[in-house]
Amino acid sequence: MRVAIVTPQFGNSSSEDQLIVRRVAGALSVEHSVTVLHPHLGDGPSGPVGSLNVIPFREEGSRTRYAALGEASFGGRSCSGYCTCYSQHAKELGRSLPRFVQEELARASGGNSPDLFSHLREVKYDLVVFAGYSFASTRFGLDYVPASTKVILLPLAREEPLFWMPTYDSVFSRPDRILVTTRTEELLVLGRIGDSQRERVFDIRFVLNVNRLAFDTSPAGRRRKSFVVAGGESLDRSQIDWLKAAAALTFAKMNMELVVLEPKGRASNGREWFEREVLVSRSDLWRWMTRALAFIDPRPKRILGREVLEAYLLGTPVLVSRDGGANLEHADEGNGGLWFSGFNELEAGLNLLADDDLRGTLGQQGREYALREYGDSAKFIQRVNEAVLDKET
Amino acid sequence: MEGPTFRARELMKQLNERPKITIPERDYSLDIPALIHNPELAYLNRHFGIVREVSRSKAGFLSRIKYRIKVLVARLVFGSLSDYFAAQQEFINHLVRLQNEVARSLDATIEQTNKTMVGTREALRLAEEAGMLHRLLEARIGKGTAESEP
Repeated sequence: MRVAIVTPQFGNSSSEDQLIVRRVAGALSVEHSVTVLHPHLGDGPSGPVGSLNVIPFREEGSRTRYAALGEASFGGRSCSGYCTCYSQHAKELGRSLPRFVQEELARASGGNSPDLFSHLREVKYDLVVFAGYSFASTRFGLDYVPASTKVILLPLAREEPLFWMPTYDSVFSRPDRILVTTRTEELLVLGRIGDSQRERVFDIRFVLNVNRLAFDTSPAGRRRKSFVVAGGESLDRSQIDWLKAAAALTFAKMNMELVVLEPKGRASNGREWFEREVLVSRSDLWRWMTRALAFIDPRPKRILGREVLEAYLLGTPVLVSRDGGANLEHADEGNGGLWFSGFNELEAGLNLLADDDLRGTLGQQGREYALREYGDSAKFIQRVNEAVLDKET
Repeated sequence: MEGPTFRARELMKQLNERPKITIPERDYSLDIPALIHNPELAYLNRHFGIVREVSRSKAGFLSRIKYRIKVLVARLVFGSLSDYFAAQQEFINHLVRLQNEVARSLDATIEQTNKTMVGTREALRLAEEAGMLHRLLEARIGKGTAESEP
């Protein structure tokens, strides 16, 4: 079977979205001939990449336009991980936008490539997989796929105003199958298309692995016990205040410290209060996870919750934001951690996780969950191919 | 299949039943005078040397004889035990230096503790303020949404 995967980006596997696209492409290429179509001519991979054939196209439009439209429509960036007001009102915000603004946002969101759309019309594929519901490559690319061709959507959906915009109705109604990776994403999609269409949605789960050698290589110069915080580059002022107060109350009596991890090249200045560590690689993050008392992820609306699952695989319990999307699902269903939505819950959570026995058990339970649900490559490949081939899962 | 030992939801329930943290009403700063200015330490710093001189007695023949005998004995004792007294002096010097160091270190610790307490109170105040502003914002957005609905 000839399969095309249309994605607005292809290459950066540190991003959750791109990792999902790559793994799904890999799983499909086990049984089918897979071509990846992306609109980054001269700036992305091209030709054979592993088992995939990659064809880049020229993109039109700019991200600046999207940012400007977003600023005008939603007032800029979304609220912090502690805040739920944005997601509570995402639906109203998205639906209240004028139709032409919705279209413009979709066009400017990336992947607007007339060349790619022509390719979809001219080349006969048996199956086309569209990655990311919100991108122009999906919103407008779908119109160019012949009616007889089977279409699969990998929505990569999170609770945000864009998700509820009526301009994306066709994106959710046209595909024969919609593949999701977590229960949170499944519920979100069902909330949009209606429970009666449940049979169109397939939870393919995911597969993740960590290098256990991370246990044998210590981060340089660390002596004290640490709670490790992810996403330091995206912490805002109120998050810092809460963490600061909670840590002051908790750690002073326990001789513990808080380490904030920031990716290389995106490290911020002026947060002298924290122990800040710049990550140089994925293994570096895993090393920190192995040494952490608990892994704190305050980031909101995660599609996959990759870092939380990796912490689980290394036996480390987690503390996540209540608005963390997939992160909350993993903490709740995996029984491997706690969550917080305000200062008091954060402080109480840190205090509770200071207990060695509790941490050990939560870490173990989390590891069992991650291995069971997200640790089997063969199962993942089977689920993806079954979902695509209409077999019962 | 055996269930998990700890259920995250039950832990969260237990966690939310805990009394909420509030900003302490009282200022818990330690009001202790600096030890470095303690009069006892000042005395130690002035009198740590071993006294080798014999004090002069009152006038009179007998007193002069007694004084000379004392001087002779002192010379004999300090002369024959000079190594011992030098070592003792060195020991006392170290002891007094240590006392000064302890006083300085303790003063710095108290100052740091007080700063931490001020910082914690401030952080708690900021956290409470951020929470309050957040609630106000949510209420405003909620109200706006309710009004805009048909």
